[in-house]
Amino acid sequence: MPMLSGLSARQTWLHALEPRAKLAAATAVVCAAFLATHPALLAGAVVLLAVGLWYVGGAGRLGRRLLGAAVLGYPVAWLVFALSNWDNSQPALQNALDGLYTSGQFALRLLAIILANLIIVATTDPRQFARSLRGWRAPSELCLMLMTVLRFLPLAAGQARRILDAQRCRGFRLRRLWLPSAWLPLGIPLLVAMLYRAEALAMSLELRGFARGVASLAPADRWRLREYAFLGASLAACAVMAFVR
Amino acid sequence: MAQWIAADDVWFTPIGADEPVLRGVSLAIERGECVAIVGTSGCGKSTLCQVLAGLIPRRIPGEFRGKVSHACGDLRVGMVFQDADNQLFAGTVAEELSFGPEGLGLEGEELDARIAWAMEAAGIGQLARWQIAELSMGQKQRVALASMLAMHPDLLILDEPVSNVDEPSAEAIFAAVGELRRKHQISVVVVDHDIARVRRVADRVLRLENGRLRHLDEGEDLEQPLPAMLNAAPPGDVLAAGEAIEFVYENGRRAAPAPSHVLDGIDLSLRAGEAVAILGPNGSGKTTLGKHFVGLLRPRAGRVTVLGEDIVRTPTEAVAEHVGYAFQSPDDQLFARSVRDELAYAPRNFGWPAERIDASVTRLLDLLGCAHLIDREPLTLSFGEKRRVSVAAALAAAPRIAILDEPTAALDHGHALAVARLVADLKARGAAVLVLTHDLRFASAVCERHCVLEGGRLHSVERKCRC
Repeated sequence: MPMLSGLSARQTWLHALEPRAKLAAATAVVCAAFLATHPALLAGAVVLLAVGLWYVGGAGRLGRRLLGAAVLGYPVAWLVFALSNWDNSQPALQNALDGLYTSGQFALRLLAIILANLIIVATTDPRQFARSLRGWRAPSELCLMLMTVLRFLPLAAGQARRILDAQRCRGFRLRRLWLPSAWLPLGIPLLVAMLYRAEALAMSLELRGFARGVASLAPADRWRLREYAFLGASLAACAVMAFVR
Repeated sequence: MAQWIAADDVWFTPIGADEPVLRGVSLAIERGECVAIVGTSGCGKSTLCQVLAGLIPRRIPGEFRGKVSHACGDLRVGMVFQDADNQLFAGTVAEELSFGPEGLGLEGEELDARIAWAMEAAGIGQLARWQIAELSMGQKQRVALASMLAMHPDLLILDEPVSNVDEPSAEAIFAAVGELRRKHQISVVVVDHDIARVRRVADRVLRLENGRLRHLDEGEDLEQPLPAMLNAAPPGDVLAAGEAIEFVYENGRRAAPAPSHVLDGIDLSLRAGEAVAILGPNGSGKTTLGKHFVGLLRPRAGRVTVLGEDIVRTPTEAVAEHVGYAFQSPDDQLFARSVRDELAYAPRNFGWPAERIDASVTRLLDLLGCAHLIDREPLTLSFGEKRRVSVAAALAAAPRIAILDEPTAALDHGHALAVARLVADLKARGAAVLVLTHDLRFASAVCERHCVLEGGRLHSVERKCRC
């Protein structure tokens, strides 16, 4: 039975990992993605990470949109790579295949990096992340600020959605957004709402003792065997991806 | 009893205001005492709460005079804001509640016990795993209350803590507050519009009027019920209808332990000249149902028609020409430089001529008692004023169908009466009105038909006349 204070919306073993282990593994993925040249290994890594994202419940609307953008944008990327490396001494088909190979490699690298980061976002709540930073002896105020910033991003997205809904119900049309003035019904309420929220949040934190130094963030969790095992396995997989030619 | 907190001759003028909001307020609260503060919307109740919490003048700038003293140096003050949504920021309910006590150094079983107690006291024991973004306004209010209870405050300030909460939950919250006082000797300041309700928990009831506090005696100033404004004539044609509507949230609420249909086979018709009230506890899906009638949400199964047209494939912007939707939070839509421009926005989008827009704006502001605000900046208005302006703005384009989501939340009796008159006017003009509310008093006064939404199902109920 999980403890109440540790309850997140969804619990997998990746959620339970100490965030620094996940951060270190994600950094390794980023490095390996740039060093890797073997397309099959890169593709394998992307598939593995995509399955991971699905497993942790992060492959929702954002994941689908990302995949859609990648699929729709790929022909443009292929064209860019094919044209930028065009060699007149080669047949056109060869140039096209070279472009396909290079653009595919870069697309896989980008996907690997994005998926690794999405897994972190989907499995780490800001409070856990800030506590983890304390483990690196970052000042409590900095951790709190970072946590608040991280929390504001999804809140702002949700608020923007509500504002858009409210304005659409008053005849606001998305196709008019090319006009600067058409942004006002969205931008002003969003800005004001965020200012109100920031002020209310500051007051709420103050009332909970944070601004006056009465309270501080709890210390980071200690690493256990699972963190070392996860990081070891991730580093090994990244080494294979980076150095097998 | 020991004096816990005392405000002595407090004056406060916020930046940009011409006159002081508080004019020599003096108030002493003893340990374990519960003081209720009532007053009209915008009279300065929230400002007084912020003074008692120490947020004015430390956090909120303005011209401050007077003195606020605490019995002990480290008096722990907890405050639930009027717009509770703004004070929550964690991912889930459990995370939100553990944030404060964790900061006080609590951990393990002690932390868990504290959170469990706070959730129980606020009546949200089943919401521990829920994402805060997926909660209804009323549920958020209760989470905010629980987050402050979890801090075990010496003084708890509740600024309209039940304005978005259904009646049984409001009673439960007030009962919990009473228990807190008895068991833990917590002093409580509660702001509410319902004088009869606060009398049941408060030792003293004070009215804030013209910036000053005065004591209310027993039986004094009890609010009169809203007068009945029901349409005696039979309703007209069906203007909008939902048939077997089914809906489930895809991404968010599946995180709840027992995912279920938010709407499960809803049939509802809205007729010309008739107002229908959708009642139900917080989080029952009232707003979700309302959004189906303007095309903001599409049913998973079933059909929604507006003026005979299936709106599944019609963009919201087009449906909005016939359907006006007043959202629960006024801050989500106000942006213009003046109230006049704010109200003119929708009719302009629909291509109305200037004279017709002016006539509509003037009529609506008169009906809602906001004519004096016409040149004010909407964003500088009080919450109650913003609420009325946002309702007027949603209805300025004379929609055939009006959907009002908690239209009386945080409004005092006089302003609720103004909104009731607006609904009566809409009906007289042949519009169909859908009122999503937990305010039975308002629903009884203006709605010919009452339905209760619970467990995803809609049940017609007898009108419970309290008017």
